[in-house]
Parts: sequence; C-alpha cells; structure tokens
Amino acid sequence: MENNQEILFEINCPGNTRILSVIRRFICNIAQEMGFKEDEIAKIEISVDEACSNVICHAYDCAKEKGNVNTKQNPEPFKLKIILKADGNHIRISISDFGIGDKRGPHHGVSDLDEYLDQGHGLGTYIISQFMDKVEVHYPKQAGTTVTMVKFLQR
Amino acid sequence: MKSFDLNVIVDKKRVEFCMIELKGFLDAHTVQDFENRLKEILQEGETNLVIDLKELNYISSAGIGALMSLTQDLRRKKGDLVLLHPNQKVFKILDLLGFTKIFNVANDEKDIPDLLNL
Repeated sequence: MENNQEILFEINCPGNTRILSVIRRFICNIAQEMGFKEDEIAKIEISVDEACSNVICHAYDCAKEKGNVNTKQNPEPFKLKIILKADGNHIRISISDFGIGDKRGPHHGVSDLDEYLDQGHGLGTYIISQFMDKVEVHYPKQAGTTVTMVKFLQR
Repeated sequence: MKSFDLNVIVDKKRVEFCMIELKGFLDAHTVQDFENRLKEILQEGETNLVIDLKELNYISSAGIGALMSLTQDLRRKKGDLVLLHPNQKVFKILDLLGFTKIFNVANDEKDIPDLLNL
C-alpha cells in the first residue's frame, strides 16, 4: 500500500456474531499493510470487534426482544455497515447499525476497571476508549447509531 | 468460515484441579459454548480450574467477562482459576486492561500449586 494513497472500503454484512472473525481478519490485514505495529493492530482489532459485538449482542437483540424494529423504514434492519478509510497516517473505521432502540444504546460504558468490576458490564466500550485515539458516537435522526474510531500511525 | 471457532478440551487426569484447554477464539460468538461447557464442569463440583490458553488466538470483552465471572464464582467456593500459557497477544490485552492483577497467570505448570494454594 502506497504511504499517501487513500483507500476506502464499505462493507455491508449480516448482524450476526458469526461474521466477527471475518471482520477482525480483514481489519488486521489492512492495519498490517498500513504499517501498524503488532500491538497497535491488536488494539484496533479488539476495538472494532467490541463495536460490532455491541451492536449485534445488545442493540439488535434488545430491539428484537422489544419488537422495536421499523422494517418499513429499513427492510433489512439487522445489518452492520462498516466504512473504513485509511491513508498514510491514520485509519478511520465507522460502524453503523440501523436499530431504533435506547438512544444511549450499547455505547455507554464504564470509565475504569473498578467500575466494570462493580457493575459487571460496559467493558467493551471501555476497551474502545482505551485503545483508540479518537472515538465519536453519532445518532442519525432516522435510526441507528454510528461509532467512528480513529487510530494514528506512529512512525 | 469454520463451524467451530473454539475447541474446549477438558482433562481430568489430575486430582487437585481440572485442566481445560482452549483453542481458537473466545469472542461474542463462541462465549456461549464456553460458558455452557463451564457450567457442566462446575456442576460436577470442580472448584480449582486451570485454563491452558496456549492455542487461544484471540479474546474479547465477552471472553474476559466469562473468565471474570468464573473467577468470582470459584473464589466464592474457596477455589480459584489459573490462566496458563497465554500467548503474547492475549497476555498483552489482559495486561493493558489491568486483568493480570486480578487473574492468576502462569507460564509454567510448576507455579500452579502455589497459585491455587494446594
């Protein structure tokens, strides 16, 4: 991969945990091609996995349980959209779901390990905040949530 | 895509503890299978477990959460858990998050009796 060449991927995949290992392999390959070190690749890998797992295991499962799914607005509500942009100095990954559940969604986590041990949940979001350089959560008006995370390449 | 992303092998040759070998990934997809196997093992009265992670290639928060619940459960029963031979990648993730201060981690089987207070 040329250092300054921008690459863009858009992946639409089923909101099923079976797909997680495929997504992880893809993200790791791109990060490796970009020149990220092994430790940094592992951090990107787990952060993307956590964001996707949150959507599949919490937002969609919760919406299914409540019957809270607008299939007229979106005929295929249980899908994940992953947009990956990479250039010479950073990788930006956006993960979108199309659920219409709790607007706090699955993305409210804990601020440290003690809080996790106390509450017993929220570790995934904590991992993302610890391992990525920048994290943004956006709630589009129509439905769903988009989590965008950025990791800068250290040379 | 393989049909099994996690293999759980249980070795009960030892009297003092039960050894479990994990191979593959411990993530949101495989954690339910892992927890089901653990439930069976715990129902048999095991309170000291050693999980060999040598061939575990990846762990996510779902897997860490399962190990955390297991540790808490065993400690309530006056037993404990040892994570044996984690590879560098799995160890690094656990360490960066602070879990190596909570879990018993060993790279040598000789350390197991001390860690389990046997």
